[in-house]
Amino acid sequence: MLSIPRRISKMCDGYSRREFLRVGGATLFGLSLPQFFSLQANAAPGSPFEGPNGYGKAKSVILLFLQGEPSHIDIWDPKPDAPSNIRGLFKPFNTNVDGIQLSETMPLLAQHVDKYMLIRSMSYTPAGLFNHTAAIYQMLTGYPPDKVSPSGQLEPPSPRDFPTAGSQVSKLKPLDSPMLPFVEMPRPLQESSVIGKGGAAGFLGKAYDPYRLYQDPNKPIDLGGLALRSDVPPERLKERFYLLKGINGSMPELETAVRSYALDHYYQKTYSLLLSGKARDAFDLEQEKPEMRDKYGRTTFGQGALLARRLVQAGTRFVQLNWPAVANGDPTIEAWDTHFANFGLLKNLHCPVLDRTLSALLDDMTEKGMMEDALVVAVGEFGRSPRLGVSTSGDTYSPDGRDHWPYCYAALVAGAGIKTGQLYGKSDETASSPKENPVHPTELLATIYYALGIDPGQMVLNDLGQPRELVKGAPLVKLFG
Amino acid sequence: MGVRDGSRNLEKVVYDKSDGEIVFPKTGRVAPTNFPYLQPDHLSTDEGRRQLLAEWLTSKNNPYFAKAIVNRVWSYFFSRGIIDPVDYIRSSNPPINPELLTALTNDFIDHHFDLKYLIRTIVSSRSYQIPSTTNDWKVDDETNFSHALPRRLTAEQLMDAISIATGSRAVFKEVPKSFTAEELPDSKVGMGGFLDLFGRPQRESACECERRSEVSLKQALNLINGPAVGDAVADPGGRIAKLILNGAADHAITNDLYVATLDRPPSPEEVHKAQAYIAAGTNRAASVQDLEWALLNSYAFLFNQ
Repeated sequence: MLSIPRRISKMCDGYSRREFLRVGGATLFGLSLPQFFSLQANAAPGSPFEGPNGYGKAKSVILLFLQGEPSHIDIWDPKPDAPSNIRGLFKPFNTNVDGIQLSETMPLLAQHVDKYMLIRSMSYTPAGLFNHTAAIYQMLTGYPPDKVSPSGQLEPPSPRDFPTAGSQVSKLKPLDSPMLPFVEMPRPLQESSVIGKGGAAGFLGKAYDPYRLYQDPNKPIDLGGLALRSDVPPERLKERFYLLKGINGSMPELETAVRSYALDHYYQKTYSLLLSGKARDAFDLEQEKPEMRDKYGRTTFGQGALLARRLVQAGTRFVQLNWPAVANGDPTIEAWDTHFANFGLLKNLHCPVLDRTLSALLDDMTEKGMMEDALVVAVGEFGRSPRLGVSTSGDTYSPDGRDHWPYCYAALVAGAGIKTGQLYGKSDETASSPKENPVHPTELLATIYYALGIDPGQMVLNDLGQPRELVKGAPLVKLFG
Repeated sequence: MGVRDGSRNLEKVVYDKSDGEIVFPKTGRVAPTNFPYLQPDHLSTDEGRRQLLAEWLTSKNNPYFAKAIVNRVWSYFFSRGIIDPVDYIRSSNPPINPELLTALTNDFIDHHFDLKYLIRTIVSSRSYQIPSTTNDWKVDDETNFSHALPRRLTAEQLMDAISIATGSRAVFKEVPKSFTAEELPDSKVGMGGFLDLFGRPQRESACECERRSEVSLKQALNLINGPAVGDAVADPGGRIAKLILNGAADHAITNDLYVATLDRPPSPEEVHKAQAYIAAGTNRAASVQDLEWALLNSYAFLFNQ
């Protein structure tokens, strides 16, 4: 008896063990797992989610990934009644929605609360490591990292890693039009010397890696291979393709034998991508009015967000804009990692950039009618300790610093049918743990997949052909209106 | 065994060490060294543990090592192992042809683990030499080696094949100029470039899966519009420039490029088409470059058939 698991279990650990056993048993009847999954795909006439709100409403996602982690209590979730060693120096700030207050560090974004939903109950308990990379990997792949080096740092990225969300999306929701499916900018995910962990296609293969634009969009962008070579104008490229077609066409048997590589598909796509100039144009921020560029802020993050919007307009499925500083970098320059001097740095350096950029993006996209089918998510890998001057990560600490805090933090979600001007979940009196509706990072990830019309409970095959859940968490269907 | 930093950047030196016992943290006792199976009673411990391990691995009585190597080498020539995935050797993933694997394994052991002998055996077999053409009875077969499955050239092969075909060499700043891609000492050389894009293993694990051979949009972008092919065909010191400067005729140029790129002379029809293309163009060198570009981007070049 073949059981085709299609429904998401409401339990945290996804599929029941019995379903797994049945899947395993399928091989006994002479079906290999890939065959099994193609059967599964054929057997599903529709999605298990057809009906509920919001499923498949998003055509694209902009993920503003705030690596390094901003302090939730000083930005999203002020606690004016908490003791002074918790509430800190900032005052709450009224927003354009009654009953919702942000911190005074976000005066502009406070005027756009009617455009987004704020989740104040993000929470998870790390399996061991308390560092950035472990949390980044958990957030973006949906799985806890399984390997740690003797120094307590994570292993560097490996081809056996779980794929990052954008890679999964590129594979499961391919684009019809010639455009880059997944763009990551303006710098890689990074903690110390571990670069790009949780930011690659892993076992899906490099084909699904993001298009990495590791440049400062606030400066002129070098397009590399996307710009036509000066010695090969469009006419000459057309002639070259004509010749190529003739050469391949003279060996029809070989053409048949290599069909599984889908080379022709990629060549056609690249050809159109180069000739259409869509990607080139998207990367050309000079096409925006100076006032629009000013609105987003003339910063790496600000111009990156504007670029993200342009890419989505041009058809990119998944844009990931990383906070442009090493996660555990120097907070006096750009990093969110305020183990010391938390308040001055947030107020004067970091929050103004985030505040301006996020409010410009939401405002601009709303004005252009893009929020209908685009999902915007701003989240980091964890929060920061509500109590000042404690060490949670084993790192050094100072009386005016906040350390890593995965047990409670916040996320902003907007667009694609998500309710606006509302809060989801609630933290306790000190923003230390969720009080209502805790949201695990896997559930936020599942919500992103869900919005894109990807069944989060489906199985994907890893490098050894073993089935793994896309993500072990249920989507937050309640977020959608 | 110990590892220490070498004199050059990123260099590691592996050396034999007499100490380095593993202490079980709970009891504080030293974990005695042992082999999981086939206790080698005849081996002395004086020779050092690495020597002991090597002898144990290549012992004629060790049935696992030889089988794994044979399966791995086979996969290099057939796109897939007799057990596949190659690193997934376990009872629930049996070989597609156990008799074949056993025979090759025994033969390999009998010939003292001689890899060259194994490779010679494989490439001189009918299974390897059979073409990729199919018929109605085996067109669906992808597991029984009934016909060749074309394999995309590996990253290093592709880069070296482009330089042989065009006479234009890529130079790595970390190593002497004469080094080809296949001669590079480790995966840090030319990091993040062409080789990594085309799936060179990072050498972080022993898994065969580290080497990737799929095709992607970014690879297509590189081959179509990137410097690896674009610069190579236009190299003023390359094959095309030399042919033109030497005053070679169109049919001779076509012949030379086909042999250098596809390892076969062109058919009369192909010569005719190429001549017509070159004659129709206004810039002869540019037309010849276009022809070579198309040959380098063709299935016949990118795949080992």
